[in-house]
Order: sequence, then structure tokens, then C-alpha cells
Amino acid sequence: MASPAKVFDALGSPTRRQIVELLGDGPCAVGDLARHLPVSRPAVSQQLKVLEEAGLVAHERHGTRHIFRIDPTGFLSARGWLESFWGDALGAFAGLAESTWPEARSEDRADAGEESS
Amino acid sequence: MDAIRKQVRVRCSVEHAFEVFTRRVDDWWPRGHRRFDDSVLRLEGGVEGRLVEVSRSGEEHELGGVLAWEPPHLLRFAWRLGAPPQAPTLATIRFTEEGELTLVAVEHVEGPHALPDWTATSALFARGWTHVLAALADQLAAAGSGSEAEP
Repeated sequence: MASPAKVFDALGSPTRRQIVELLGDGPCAVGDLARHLPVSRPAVSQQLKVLEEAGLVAHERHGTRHIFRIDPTGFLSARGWLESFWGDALGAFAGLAESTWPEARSEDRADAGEESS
Repeated sequence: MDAIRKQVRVRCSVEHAFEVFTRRVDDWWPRGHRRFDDSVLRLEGGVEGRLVEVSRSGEEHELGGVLAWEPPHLLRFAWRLGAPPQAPTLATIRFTEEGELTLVAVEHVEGPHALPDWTATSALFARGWTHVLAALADQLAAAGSGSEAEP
């Protein structure tokens, strides 16, 4: 399972981001990707490997060709991370807002709940 | 891809919630989500205001720009997080009175460069979110999370 850190690391490279964008147009073989990129075919293969380990792309074999496509797994993992950022941030914000509210009555503090949709 | 939505109900007035969210951003913004150690976050109010992280040595890192400033009910940021300026994400925060409580709701979407006919297919999904995640990746890399350098 891809960790969010792996996903972010994988997307930290402009070339790998470009590969993901190209695959966003549809599945593609390594050679076809290399034609659109300023790097060699072996370099593209290397970058694809990193993306695959992060769960961002997957490949299937068609005869001797490897066809790469987008894999949603890594994106879902990173989305979860962004959601947890907002969860942490809003939790901390709510705690501060309530503790600094001058009209707070301490006995009803406990039932201010958090929820997400 | 759907927007990311998170909300929290806070026992205080709408005005107080807005005030704490904006003026005291440095006190609640999670420490783990900053570029510099010992930094201070500052939100300059008003449209065209900025959300800025300032390091101890005075170095500034702009996290976002204010697109809408409607105290005490609405804030909207172009959320840069180190992203290329042409592809910011959008975060909207709404403050709504609910009796003695205030509902604070965040909606975070990919920027105006998302496709208008956005669907759940994985290919499209990846395309819009590439920008979002790239922004986060840049920020995390800058924060020293171990991103490797591009050869």
C-alpha cells in the first residue's frame, strides 16, 4: 500500500509529474512517453518505477510491450493525507476558539463535537 | 473528483470564530505542516491579503492569497503551498451561526484549471489532482521530508 509520503516524494519531480499528466490522457507505452519528454527512454523507465512504487501508475503487459496507466491508489492515499491536515487544523482551531471565548460556560464545553462529511 | 470537505462546530460566536481563525492562525496551524522551524504564520486581512509563513531569520514563504474576505462569514484562499502560481488550489472557509454554536466548514477544491466536465474516471481524477499534489509535494520537499532531487 502506498504511503502518502511516498506519493508526495514521487510527485516532487517535474518529470514524474509530467509523466502522470501524459498518462492522464490515456494509457501509454514507455517509448511513446519518452517521445514527449526531454529525457531518455531508460530514464523514463526509471521514473515509471518510482511512480509505480508510490501507487500512482500501474502497468500491463501486451506481448513484449508494457502499457502504463494511472493507478488511483496513490491519489486516494494523498487525498486522505490532505483530509487529515484539515482535520488536525480544524481540531486545533476549535480548541483555541473555545478556550478563548469569554462567554464560555465550562459545564457545556464537553458536548461541542467535531464531524466531517 | 469531489471537493475535500471538513467541518467543526465550535461553542462561540461567529465573530469570535472568524477572529481566532484569522488573527490567531499561528496558534492553531499545525506545527507539522510548516516549511520552517519556529516560524510565525501571519494572515494579512482583506482581499489581496496574504497568508505568509515567516521564519526566525525573516525569510517569507507565501502559503496563499486571499480571494474573498467577508468577515465574519467567509474566507477564500488561493492555496499555493509552493505550487506554480498558475495552478493554485482553492480553499473556502464558511462561518455559520447555529444558535450558541458556530459551524466552520472548509471546502478544498482543485483550482480553476480543473476540467469543467470533471468525472470520477481515474484518468481525469489524476489530472486535476496532479496540481494539488504537486503543490503539497513542493511544500513537503521544502520542509525537508526527504524528496529526492531531480537529476
